[in-house]
Amino acid sequence: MKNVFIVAGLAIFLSMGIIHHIPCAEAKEKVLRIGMAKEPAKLNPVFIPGIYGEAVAGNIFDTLVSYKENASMPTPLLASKWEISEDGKEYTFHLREDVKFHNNEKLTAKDVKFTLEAIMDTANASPSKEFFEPVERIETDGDFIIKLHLKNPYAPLMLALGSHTAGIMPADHVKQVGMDAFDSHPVGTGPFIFVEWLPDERIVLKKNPGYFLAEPAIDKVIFRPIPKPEVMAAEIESGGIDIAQNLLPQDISRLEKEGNLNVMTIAGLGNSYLGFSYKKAPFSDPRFRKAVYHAVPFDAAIKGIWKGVGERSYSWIPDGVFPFDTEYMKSRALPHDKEKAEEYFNELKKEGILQDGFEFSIYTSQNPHRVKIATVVATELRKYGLKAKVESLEWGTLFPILKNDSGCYIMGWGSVPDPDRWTYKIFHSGSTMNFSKYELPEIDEALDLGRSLVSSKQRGEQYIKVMRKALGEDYIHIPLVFKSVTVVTGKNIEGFTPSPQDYFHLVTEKRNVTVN
Amino acid sequence: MLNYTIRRLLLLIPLLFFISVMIFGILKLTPGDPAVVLLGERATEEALELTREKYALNSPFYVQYVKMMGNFFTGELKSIYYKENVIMVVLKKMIPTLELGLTALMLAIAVSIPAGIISSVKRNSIFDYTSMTTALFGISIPVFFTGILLIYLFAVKLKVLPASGYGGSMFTIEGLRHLVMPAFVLSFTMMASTTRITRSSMLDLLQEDYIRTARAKGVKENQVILKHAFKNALMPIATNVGNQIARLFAGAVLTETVFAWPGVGRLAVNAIFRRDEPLVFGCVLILSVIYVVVNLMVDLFYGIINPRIRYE
Amino acid sequence: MNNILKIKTFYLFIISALLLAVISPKAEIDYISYGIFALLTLIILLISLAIYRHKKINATTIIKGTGELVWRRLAKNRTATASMIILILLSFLAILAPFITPHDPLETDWGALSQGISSSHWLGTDDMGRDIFARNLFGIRVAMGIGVTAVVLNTLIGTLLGLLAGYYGGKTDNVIMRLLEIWNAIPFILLAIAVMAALGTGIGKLILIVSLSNLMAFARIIRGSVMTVREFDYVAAAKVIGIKDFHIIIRHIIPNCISPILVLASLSIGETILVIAGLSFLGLGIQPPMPSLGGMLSNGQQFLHENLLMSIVPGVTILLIVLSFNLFGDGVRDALDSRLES
Repeated sequence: MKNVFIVAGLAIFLSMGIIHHIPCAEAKEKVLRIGMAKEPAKLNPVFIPGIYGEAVAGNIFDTLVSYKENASMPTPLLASKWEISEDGKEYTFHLREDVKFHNNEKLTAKDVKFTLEAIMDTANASPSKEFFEPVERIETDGDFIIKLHLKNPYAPLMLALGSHTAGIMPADHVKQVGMDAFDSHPVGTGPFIFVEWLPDERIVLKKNPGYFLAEPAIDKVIFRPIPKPEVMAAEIESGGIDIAQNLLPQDISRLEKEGNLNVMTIAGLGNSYLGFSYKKAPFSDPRFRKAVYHAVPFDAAIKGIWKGVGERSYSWIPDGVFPFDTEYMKSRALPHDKEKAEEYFNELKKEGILQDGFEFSIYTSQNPHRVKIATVVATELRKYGLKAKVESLEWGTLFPILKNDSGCYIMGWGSVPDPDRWTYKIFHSGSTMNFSKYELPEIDEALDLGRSLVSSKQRGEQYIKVMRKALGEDYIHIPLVFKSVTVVTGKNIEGFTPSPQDYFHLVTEKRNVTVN
Repeated sequence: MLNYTIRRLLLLIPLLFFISVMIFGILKLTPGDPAVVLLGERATEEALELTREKYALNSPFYVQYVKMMGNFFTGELKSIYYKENVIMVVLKKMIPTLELGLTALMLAIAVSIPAGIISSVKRNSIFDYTSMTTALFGISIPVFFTGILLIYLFAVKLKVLPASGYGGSMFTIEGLRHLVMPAFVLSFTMMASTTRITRSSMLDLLQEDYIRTARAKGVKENQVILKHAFKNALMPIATNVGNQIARLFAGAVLTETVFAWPGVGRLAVNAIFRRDEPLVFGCVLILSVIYVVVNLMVDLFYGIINPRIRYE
Repeated sequence: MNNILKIKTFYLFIISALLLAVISPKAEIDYISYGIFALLTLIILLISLAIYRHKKINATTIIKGTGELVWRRLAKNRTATASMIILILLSFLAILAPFITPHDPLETDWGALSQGISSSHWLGTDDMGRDIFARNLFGIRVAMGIGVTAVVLNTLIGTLLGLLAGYYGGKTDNVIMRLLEIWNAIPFILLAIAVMAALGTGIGKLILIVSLSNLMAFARIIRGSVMTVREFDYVAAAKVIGIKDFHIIIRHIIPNCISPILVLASLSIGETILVIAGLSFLGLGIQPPMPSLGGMLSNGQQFLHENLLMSIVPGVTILLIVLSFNLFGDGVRDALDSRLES
């Protein structure tokens, strides 16, 4: 019997060796394999709910203007130039005339009109609908001029047009196949053509040789969902994928040290924060929130948990985005001070706002970093006689709980570089993402003004006002961290740099990523 | 036998009813909102409402149930997430799962039945102890841990096998290379029970009188073991294997998650997390039916290996 | 004599189990562990009593009944004895955890992240500076607590259903067994995930769902042995003289089914602990900050390169617990098997 085992073992080992040494038959084809933490939910730009869909769609579709290459101002893409009227209510775009969809239809103004109207159409229930709320009507002027009329001046419009969820779709084709079918077989103008989507397995794109910016240097792109970050690290180390994202901090620092791969880190735009209810006692008492701030050693914990893949944050608006108020916000952060925390908690207990042994849950998503920081908060608060436990839930369960005022939660928000996106949805009393139920007329007013004013300086003043009041005075949230974006690539990948939103831009005006 | 088969298949009707009611109840107890998962965090209330309308998430429960059940049988039940017929979605994932599961099972049988027989013949020998302990290790280590250790060893350190993922059909080289590790990990968990069952039923049989008679008659030891004893030990082994086949589809969830294997187990778990109610509903129903049918086939297989069995 | 001891053990077992079941959903580790403590001390007392008696009997070489025989065999089986000792040791370690380790399993130390073995941290610290040894002990506590409670509940429900089906037969039997068959057809792991997603995570719910997992196996075994026992003359005689069903079941039938139940139960505890670890891996197990072996392991395997202790310690602990329960169950089964007398 032992012999059988030995023979079988040898056979398996040998066959593995043989298999390993057979050269890949498609070696000549340049294939780029990208690992993603999660599979995109949708590929139809109108339906795309989050960054994974955007990351893939960004390579299939083009937008009117572009914010790729970390641009803070819009650069031309499908629109070669544009004019904005004096009152800021009329936008005119001139389209490039040499652009063709993957099905060889020519791009015209009616496709743009169709796409934007599809986003604004209530029947499509588009997640990005609200970014186009101020648009009154869209009209075409000939084949290559499109005009947007706004109800009121709206500064973030260009950002809305430049985000991947506003990728232009071919009107006739979509009408023919329907929105849902288009989702599983998208057709755009971008550098890569959709080939197939095998759910939970891979999404395959091939190059669009006639792409108007340049012919892509890669023949094929494969996106693979790999749910476990430690497996993702093993994949990039073993050469199973060429680009890895969302790796664990310990894996990143190890791979950087070993030096067999390129490790690139840039400041990201996604933050995490600890939020409290504005309405539910005892969270509604500012002293409670300050006490928590004093009770937890946030600086040490964040350093220990994020291990250099994130910067401690003091405001919702990151450093590189106007209105640049970090210094003041930093001065309003509260230090780790057990005595002060004790003092506040005792005061609250005396007044009967807080009971000894008060039990509550800290709700958070399944993001491992957030679960860990929530664990730290819960552990520290136990020392003050508060029984906190962590509930880490799937988004579908978590969201309704947060919407019903959960009391205490740790969440995050990632977005495009405009202060409006970070603030309006989180602090405006009418927003669904205002999980703290924060409600102050002055804040609402400032946020509304921030949208309708045009000059950056005037807008900035409004956002400074919001941040200073909400975070520096009310401590309604404790900002924790801005996660940086780290991408690890094989040494054979040339020309790739990470984007702050976790996108994978492969072909732009400035780059054409290739595999050697 | 035909009667028996028909009667067993008729049991599927109450089975489908009970399971569907139960799973529907669990789905409705789940506090999540499929519309939220579908549209993501940026969705407006208005958009959510429309989506709920579209998938009839607002109508009374019994209406939803009847609709779901009816759609399931007419084959029109569509996954919210995949926007495709639930049965088709499950069938597509069936191929990788079957490849993984059956390979693992073959591997497990190929190792554990000989190991079990030898252990029983050489009871209390070193081989017996080693193989029994190894078998026990298989059901004592969490499968996700074995998985990650193997990935580090074979993919990162030795670089002989791909770390994870599905490489296409198992009849291609790429497919086979991707299959090796997950199949081995899964088979490790299966080996334990098969080896133990083989050993214990062989031990029982080897003490029977007819074995002694056969030996006394001068039949060769190999013949005694394989022909006389093993043939009769097939029944409990078949039950065990049948049980494992039936459990194969959902039981590989952890292995599939570690190795990013696109199988039915992961599909079902993702569907639960994504609140894809029709898909969860369809998945559980299909898997339950498969379980019953496979068990029936195992029972019928008894009749083939042991003609004395009568089906009443 | 021995039968009485056996019956007493069984009822003590059931009472403690019920106590556990009532207390444990409150999710206080302490209650659970003190429950187990009481249970274990009782079992150990009874075992030592039995061994003492067994020795006395050995001296006189008179074997009365099967009980002594089983004991003798079990005592002879070295692996079974060893695993029993390991289990008892582990349980005591877990229960006495606060007195053994000076560290709080929750206490984070940001100045001592991911350290190796040292005199202050016997098995090092994890990625958040928590003492691995302390966490491991408390992890064993939770795992054993949940495992034992869930399996005891599982056994009780399964036994009850099996008893009803086997004793009354006919329609009752048919309905119960068909329902169980249906229940058995649902893929358990998916059901567990769905229920945890539906009702939220928590120790009580974890116990509830796991305790419903293996009903079929228990019910089948009990039903089989009840059906055999039912035909015995003394049961028929008891019926004739008008003893109530309840009494017959308690007095005459249950004692005869204890052995197979014990085997199956000890085997399913191991399985249960693995299932809970698996749920932790999927993010549905015991929620932090409570330490759990499965959670520690699935966190630890993200640090394989930095700190091997983080995964090896909980991994080996799980292995040890599950292996011991399996070996113990095997030992009991072998000891019960009259045909294996050599």
